[in-house]
Amino acid sequence: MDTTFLYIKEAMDFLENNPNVEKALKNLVHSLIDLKRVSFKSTEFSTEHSLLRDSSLIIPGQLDQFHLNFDNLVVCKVLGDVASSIMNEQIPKEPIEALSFANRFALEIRKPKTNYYWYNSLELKFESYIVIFLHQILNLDFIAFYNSLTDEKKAEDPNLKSLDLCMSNVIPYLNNDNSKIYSFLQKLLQDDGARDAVQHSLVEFGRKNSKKAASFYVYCKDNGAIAQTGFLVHLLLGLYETNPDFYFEEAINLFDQNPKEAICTIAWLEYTKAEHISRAFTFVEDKKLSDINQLRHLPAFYCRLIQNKNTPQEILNACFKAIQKLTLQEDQQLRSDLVFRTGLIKGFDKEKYELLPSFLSWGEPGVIRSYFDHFNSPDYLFELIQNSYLTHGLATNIKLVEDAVFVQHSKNPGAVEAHILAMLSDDRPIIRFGGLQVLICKGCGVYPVAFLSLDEKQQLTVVNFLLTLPINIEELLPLCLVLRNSPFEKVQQDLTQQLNDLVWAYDEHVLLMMKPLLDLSVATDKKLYDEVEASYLKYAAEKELRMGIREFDPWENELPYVELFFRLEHEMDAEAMEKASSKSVFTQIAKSISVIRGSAFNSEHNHQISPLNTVGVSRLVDQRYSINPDKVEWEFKMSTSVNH
Amino acid sequence: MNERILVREYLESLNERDELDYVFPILLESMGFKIISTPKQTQGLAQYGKDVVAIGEDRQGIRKRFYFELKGGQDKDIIDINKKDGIIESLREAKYRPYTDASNPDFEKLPVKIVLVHNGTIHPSVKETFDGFIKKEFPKKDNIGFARWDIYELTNLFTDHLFNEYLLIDKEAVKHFKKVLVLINTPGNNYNDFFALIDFILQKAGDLSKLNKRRQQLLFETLKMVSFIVYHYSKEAKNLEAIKKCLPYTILKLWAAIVRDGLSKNSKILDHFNKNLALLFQGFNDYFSITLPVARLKNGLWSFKGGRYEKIGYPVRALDYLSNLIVLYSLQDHFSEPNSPVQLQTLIEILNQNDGTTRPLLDNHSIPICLVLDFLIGQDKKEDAKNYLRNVLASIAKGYHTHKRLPDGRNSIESVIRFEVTRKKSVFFEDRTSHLLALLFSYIAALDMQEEYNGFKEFVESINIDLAFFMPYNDDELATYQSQNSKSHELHLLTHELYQEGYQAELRLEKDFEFFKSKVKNIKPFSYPYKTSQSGLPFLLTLAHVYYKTPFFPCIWNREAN
Repeated sequence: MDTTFLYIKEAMDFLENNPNVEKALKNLVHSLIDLKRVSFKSTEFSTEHSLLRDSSLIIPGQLDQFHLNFDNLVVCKVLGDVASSIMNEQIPKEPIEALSFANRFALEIRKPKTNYYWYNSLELKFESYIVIFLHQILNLDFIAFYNSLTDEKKAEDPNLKSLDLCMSNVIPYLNNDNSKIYSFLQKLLQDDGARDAVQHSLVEFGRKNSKKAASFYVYCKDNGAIAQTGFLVHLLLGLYETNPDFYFEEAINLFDQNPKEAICTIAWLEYTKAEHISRAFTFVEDKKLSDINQLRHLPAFYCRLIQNKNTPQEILNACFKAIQKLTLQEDQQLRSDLVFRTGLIKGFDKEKYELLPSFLSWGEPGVIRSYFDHFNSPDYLFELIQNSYLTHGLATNIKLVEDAVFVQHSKNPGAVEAHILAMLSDDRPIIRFGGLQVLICKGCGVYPVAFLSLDEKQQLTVVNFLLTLPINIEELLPLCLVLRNSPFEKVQQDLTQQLNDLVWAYDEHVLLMMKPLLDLSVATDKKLYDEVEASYLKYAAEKELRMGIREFDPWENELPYVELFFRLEHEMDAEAMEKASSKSVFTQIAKSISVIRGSAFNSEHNHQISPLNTVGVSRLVDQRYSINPDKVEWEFKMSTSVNH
Repeated sequence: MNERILVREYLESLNERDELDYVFPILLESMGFKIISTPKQTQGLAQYGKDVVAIGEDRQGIRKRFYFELKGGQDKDIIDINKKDGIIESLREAKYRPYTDASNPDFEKLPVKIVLVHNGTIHPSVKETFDGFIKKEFPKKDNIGFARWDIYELTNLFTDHLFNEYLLIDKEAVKHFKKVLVLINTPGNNYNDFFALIDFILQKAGDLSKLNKRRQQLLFETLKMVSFIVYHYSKEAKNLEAIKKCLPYTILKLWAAIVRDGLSKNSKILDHFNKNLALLFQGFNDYFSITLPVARLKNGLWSFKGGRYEKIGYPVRALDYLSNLIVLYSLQDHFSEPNSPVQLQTLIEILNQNDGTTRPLLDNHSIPICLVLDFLIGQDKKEDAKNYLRNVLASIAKGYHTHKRLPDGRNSIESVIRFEVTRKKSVFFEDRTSHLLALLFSYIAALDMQEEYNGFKEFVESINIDLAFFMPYNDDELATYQSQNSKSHELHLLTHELYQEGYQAELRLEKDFEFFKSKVKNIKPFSYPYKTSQSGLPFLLTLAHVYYKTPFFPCIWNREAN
């Protein structure tokens, strides 16, 4: 079903001849307004979906979703009819009132939450349709109308705030002659804010109205557009889709007159033929570009070729080599674009991973942050993490890969968890430490891992490693507790022993953490709990005995030193808080009030008493650390040394 | 008048029977009585109403033999005179059970006076009955006198015969004494008032050799009394830490005065002094009896209450504990049969269970380390000594590698705390020179630990520290280099931490271990004719090092080398 029209009249005829389509579209538009969402489930709107799915009236989305194509005149016509129905008025004939009609309609469909713009770009597209309607149906010369507006008028009148963007959208639908369109676009380009919209409109011009765009192209070439940045490029991008062979040659030939624009065009063409790709690649290589303004387009060129399904294998390989060669360039803009676009390439994990050292040679480890987002699997990410720990030990900065791990986990949770498990149960202490760092780098909580899937040796490694660490026990204990159901007796024994030892570290908190996680009606859980409780009671008895010895109580016998210690600690904490909050935007713009006495405050402007709130996260600290911190840190350092 | 209230309140507070047993003979001696027997001497034996037997003069100046029956603790108030094994029975036993003393030939010829001593009152409901009993049991015609010294009488006696001599003689003395009583167990108490009181008493006494015998005796008894007050209130507060802080001060200051005034060989003076020393021994015994069972537990010297402060508190406490434990051993050896195996076992147990004992944070932690090494070497436990030394060396290295921290040469716990918390060394933190490390190297040499020498030498050289030890001036050198200072070396040692009274002697490490060993062996030891040693009390010098924190001199630590 051909549903792409350049004229509203054609769209109206189509609807008249296809009432079921009109009905379906109306139903979808009403549903969109009622449900206040732009996407539909194909299962919920199966009738409409079945009818429209082979047309350009709907656009498929993720999974089984689809949404209406408001770039299509047919859809916009139906939208206009629905709007008239809802607003109980026809589209006004006067342009500003017509645009006001669009804005009022948008406000109406936003109600009751008028600040919630749930409909994305629907309002702009409806405004664009109204401009087309006025131009095509009511014969309004919108370019003349636009030119008649002063800058002050455009700034003052809220109905005109999106006019520049609308005008960009309607270019393919205008009946004006080339010179008028050309002048108009040049005028729009004077506003930097409209530049992107104009360039987009040139592409769409070529795609939607290739016949008119072709003559416009010739006109532009003859009238100085060749020398202009970003003009012919976008026109060619649109026109290429309708006549690839001709416009590909045009792009190549453009190089002699404007090499930068030519390279840009060659970089951004949506190639559909392998021969074009091969020729383009060879052409660029042969030119041995040195001008940075031309080189800056190459990252996009190579990355787009890699992602193009028509690219021959040998060109694909050559693109990766070319990317590596580009890493030698020192231009910062090129570098940023290069690593950004390389990171966007979907798949090609091996090739991208092999490029990474070249990127890292720039001395900016932050390139890693988003680099792995489009890897198909986390294997290379974890290879990098392990190598980092083996090379740099504790100096490894896990924060650089936090985001990458998160993204990979959302895509491949099983694979990421398997890698974490492998690291945690590795024979090498530094790798285990790295595994722990990855485990807890999630932000909120830890990554779920299934320790029971490990073999006996690995389970023993995990339980004897994680529960001896002096940190993050709140997260680690629940994870390790699952090993109480291990089929291996030694694992259960070691777990019990470690929990018994933890009583000395965390006092009764061990039991308090364990209890909610166990089912005491289950014999094995009860046995475990009872054993740890017995350890606790023994510990508590000794603690009571020792606390009764006042001769060893520092609060009685070493008070000045104790007070000095905690006073200094408090000062250090306060200084750290102040330093941290000084970076907060909020505290920079908010007035800060120090409350020096009292648990609340008010002000002259607000008599309500506001209690002070404390914000904090309580963290258990292994009290054994204070017995001999040198030894704990030394042993930790040695065990996680890269040379261990 | 206020002073009497102080004294009365103190006497009333003597809750346990044996406390009254202890202080009462002090009173009698200050009153000029000759003690024949005391409760301590007759402990375990039937006393038959005669807790203390003494010869003295009554108010009329008549010399008599006194049988004192003491009632303290729960029995201090007379409420029921008829209970079994009560007062009536004791007084009858005192009257009818003969007591002989062959060492006093005229003992049996002396008239008898029985005195009921109690640090409480008699209840009005029983007074009439009691008086009736006394009248009947001790009629005037029998020539057996009776007196009852209740709390008020005791207050008068203690005030007039003991406290008024040195303690309550003027406002300043009273002020110090009051502060001692009020603040004794206050957290954060630095005991300065106690020290000031002792100094005041000794200053008032002046030259001991010029005192008559009675005033000499009163001085010793007063000092013993004051020490006992500290001991008593510490026990009452269930915290004997004050004993360690205060009693050694009394002993050392008193002994310094004795040495100063040339009385270190006077047997009478030594006798009096030993009684004061015995109180120190008793106090230390009590302290360690209570604390050792806990100190022996795994990290028993670490406190649950200290929290993060224990990073510093634990090693400081542990090393201080070791020093005082060795002092106790010296006292045990002096007062009773040495029991080296038990002492050794206890020490080793504490070392094994408390790794805080191997972590010096201050340079003067050389003192306990030296004491432990000397003790182990002296007991022929060289391997244990080596193990301990290795642990100490390892701890110092770990402290540096993890936190860039070495023991503070200026021995300031505040500086160490500041460094630990802020991770910044204050300008007062000194770690470019170390006496402790010099000492450790000398033990390494003495114990022939070549491997450890090479390893630790490499460490020390990598951090560029100067090694030296403290050499005190002898008397001639003091006259030369500290001419404004008229005291002898021994008196300096016994009265304060040595600082200006000596010099720092460099120790350089050698590439060749054997050469270093022989160098250390040939270091001229500090030799001094201590009167303290000549009096048979060499452990007092150890006590002085421990208490005032003066590092040991070469004569001690290269004993093995020599």
